[in-house]
Amino acid sequence: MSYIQLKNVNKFYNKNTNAEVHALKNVNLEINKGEMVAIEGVSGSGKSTLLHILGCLDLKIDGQYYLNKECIDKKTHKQLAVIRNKRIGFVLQQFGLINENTVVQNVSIPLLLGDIGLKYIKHECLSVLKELNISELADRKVSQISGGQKQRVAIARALVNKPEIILADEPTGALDRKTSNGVMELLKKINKQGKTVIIVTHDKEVSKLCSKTLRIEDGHLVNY
Amino acid sequence: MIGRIIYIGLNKLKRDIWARIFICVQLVLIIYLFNLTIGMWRHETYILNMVNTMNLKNAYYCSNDFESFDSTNTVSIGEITQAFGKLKNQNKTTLKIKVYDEEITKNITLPLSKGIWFEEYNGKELPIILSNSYAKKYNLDINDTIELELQYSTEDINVQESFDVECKVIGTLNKANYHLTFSSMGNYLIWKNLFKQDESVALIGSSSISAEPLSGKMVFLKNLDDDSTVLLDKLGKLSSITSSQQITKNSKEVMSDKLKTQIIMWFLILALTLASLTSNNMLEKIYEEKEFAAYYMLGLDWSKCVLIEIFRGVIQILFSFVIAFILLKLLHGDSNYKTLIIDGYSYLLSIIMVFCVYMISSLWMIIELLRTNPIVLIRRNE
Ligand SMILES: Nc1ncnc2c1ncn2[C@@H]1O[C@H](COP(=O)(O)OP(=O)(O)OP(=O)(O)O)[C@@H](O)[C@H]1O
Ligand SMILES: [Mg+2]
Repeated sequence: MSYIQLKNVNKFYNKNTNAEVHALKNVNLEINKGEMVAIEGVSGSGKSTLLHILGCLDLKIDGQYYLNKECIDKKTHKQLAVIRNKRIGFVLQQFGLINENTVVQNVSIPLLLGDIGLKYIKHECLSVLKELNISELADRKVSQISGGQKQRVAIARALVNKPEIILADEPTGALDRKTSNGVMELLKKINKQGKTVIIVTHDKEVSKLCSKTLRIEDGHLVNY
Repeated sequence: MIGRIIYIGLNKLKRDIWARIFICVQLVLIIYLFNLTIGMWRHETYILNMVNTMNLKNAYYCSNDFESFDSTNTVSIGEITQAFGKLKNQNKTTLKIKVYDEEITKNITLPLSKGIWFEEYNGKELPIILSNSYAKKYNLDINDTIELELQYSTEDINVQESFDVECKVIGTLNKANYHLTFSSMGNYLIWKNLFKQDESVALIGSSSISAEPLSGKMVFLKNLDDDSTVLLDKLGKLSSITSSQQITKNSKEVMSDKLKTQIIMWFLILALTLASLTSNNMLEKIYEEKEFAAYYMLGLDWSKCVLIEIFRGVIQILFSFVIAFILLKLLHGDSNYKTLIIDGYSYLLSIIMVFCVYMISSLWMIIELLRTNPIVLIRRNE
């Protein structure tokens, strides 16, 4: 069995109402450990929906989801929160950082929500920031740094708990070409360190860097 | 996990500390005002409750003095005389001394903080009950024997009589220091005219000592029968007479007028606070939701996000309560029981009240959070 596996997954929004949307249709998906996968598709095709399911954010699905042989769709909210915290790192297009907080405070959230001792948290954060070459941003407020820097901080936050999987939803969508390249290099480097990376993107340049590209068309997954 | 939730809540408080302080200022103000109004209200109703426990059903107050009246077995008449007293050979505060005769002490029992009422005392020495504050101030306790130098003016104002008495302290009045006294007053009699508070007052129960008589008498009917009705008619011709029921009715009337204005004030204050806290929460909502969405994504159960929100409220309420408590103690500690009554009940009531106000104001936010699917929020911030 593959590391990540979806079996006959269907996702409905507003099920049984007039506004029902069938966002994913019979999706079967296998991703191996250490792969770097791109998910492509036009707007509204269901890319984010798929990523949210893979990230254990949204578990109201029909079908089965196995993560490292564990059946995810049977877990409780509490267990899922732990999985999100320990095993998955998210990177979003609009960064999803708390603007009023400093960089270190943002990066420390996954550690705060975990069980590592309070006194080790700062050290852990700083070492991740150092790894990403943004140590000097540590005490700056997020509202006072650039878009490219924000995305690096978001990646640092995704990495700080040493997850197995990084899920990125259009991580370069809000950045210019040059900055995007930097961010992609970073994700590539992370992948080389053995993490499974899944990137949702519109950008051909981005998918070129991945080892595998999946396409979604109107909720159907097409291998390609 | 709870520890971490508290930590995150505190950090959130620290981040927008000024906004939080202004919210706390509002909370402090309403706790403070609430305790004051409740305190004044309780002080107002205190006498009524006290009178209620005295069971004065067949008591009447007669304003004018009447020389003689055949005190029969259907009616008894109580009198009070007054003097000023000093602890002998000591330069201490002058006490107002009220001498209650047997009829008064038999029919009226004042609330004590310590000791016994005159009726229960059967010692030989002259019994005295001190005001709470005086006993505290000069460290006097029950069973102490004190020597007093009494002074009073006779009917001829220029003549001052004085004599010494030795008394045994049998009790102390309670904190409120209410005691019965007669003073000239209009026809619209309320209990506040009859029961007064004094810091330095002492009551002596004796029918043999008489000092300066107070104008006014209490008439106690033994039973309410035809005989007594005739008697009351007779008395009514001699003086203006008011039944205890009438006094209670008058007192209630005066109080309900005050209550009406206070209730309106309270509605306004509560409405203002609620509106300002709610609007604050509404403005804050967008930014709060964004933050909670991030927490959710990074591994916090959604219900715990709501818990952080609630915890933050609780901290603000407790903090405000402590400040209000200190303010009340500093500014009104001295007048407690004199013009208002603030105690554990008031504090408890005020904290429940402010908790309700705060929770109502953030209820909307909490319900929104509980209803919202965190994914929708994450999408909104994508
Ligand atoms: N909360 C929701 N309620 C109802 N419908 C939704 C909801 N979220 C998404 N949808 C619908 O599900 C479909 C897939 O949406 P999704 O966001 O996954 O697309 P996407 O491929 O990520 O698009 P984009 O490239 O624009 O981000 C769309 O038709 C969308 O309108
Ligand atoms: Mg999307």
